Amino acid sequence: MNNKLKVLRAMRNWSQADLAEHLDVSRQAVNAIETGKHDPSLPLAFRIARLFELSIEEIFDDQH
Amino acid sequence: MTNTDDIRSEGMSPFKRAALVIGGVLIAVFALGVIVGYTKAAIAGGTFGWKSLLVYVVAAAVVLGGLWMIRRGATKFTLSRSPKMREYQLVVLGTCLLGAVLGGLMQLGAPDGADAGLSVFSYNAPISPAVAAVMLASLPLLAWLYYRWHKTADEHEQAAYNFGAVLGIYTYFFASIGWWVAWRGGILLEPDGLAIFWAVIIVWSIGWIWHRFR
Repeated sequence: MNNKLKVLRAMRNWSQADLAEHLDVSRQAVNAIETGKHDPSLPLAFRIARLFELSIEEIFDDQH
Repeated sequence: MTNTDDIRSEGMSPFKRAALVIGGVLIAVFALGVIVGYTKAAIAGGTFGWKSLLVYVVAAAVVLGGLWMIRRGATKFTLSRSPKMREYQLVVLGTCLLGAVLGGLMQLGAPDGADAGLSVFSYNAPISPAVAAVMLASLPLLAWLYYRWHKTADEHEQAAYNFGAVLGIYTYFFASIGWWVAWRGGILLEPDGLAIFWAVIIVWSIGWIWHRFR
């Protein structure tokens, strides 16, 4: 699944570790989501959306 | 806060880093086991000599090689500011520490002999009842650590764990059935449950680590 997580993170000048701490996950989890190797669960997707004050659809895109 | 591409910026893949650290730990522990076992055997047999010096030098070089691999692969370790992830990290460290202590105890409780240093891997070798009792008594602590791990690991880690577990259960299925049929056909010796157990653990671990750091 495509996503804008890396761009959103960069806009805030956060490292993967910084974002991981905001989301209560590991740095590897953030990396796996950013690179499309792991699709987040619905609860985690909502946490990400709330953190960036966007809707889930604005961050994640299942159209390849 | 400024490095926004911190996974790739250090020039080595996370999987390679993990392989270096795990390989380094295994090599260092193995070499330390050889030193302990050899010393026990040499004391029991009164066979200290110039060969002993050679064994110690080679084993120490292997230990240093393992430590170098760990140093090369390990990134700077800091505890997370997130309480949940911090507990997760502490649980992993605690489990590793307990494993190291139990492994050392098993070495010390192994019978004296020329191959005592390798007794961790000769899994049917007897150990002293006291060491066995301590190890059995530690199982509830291990169970609690595992319980806390499952409560604190994030969903990506859980997915990696489950991926390794599926590979492990298939390994168990095919190894046990295959070995049992081969035994009944007179092709192999009687199935060894512990050999299958270790095969499952190794495949599970490889699948878990690969999925987590790929």
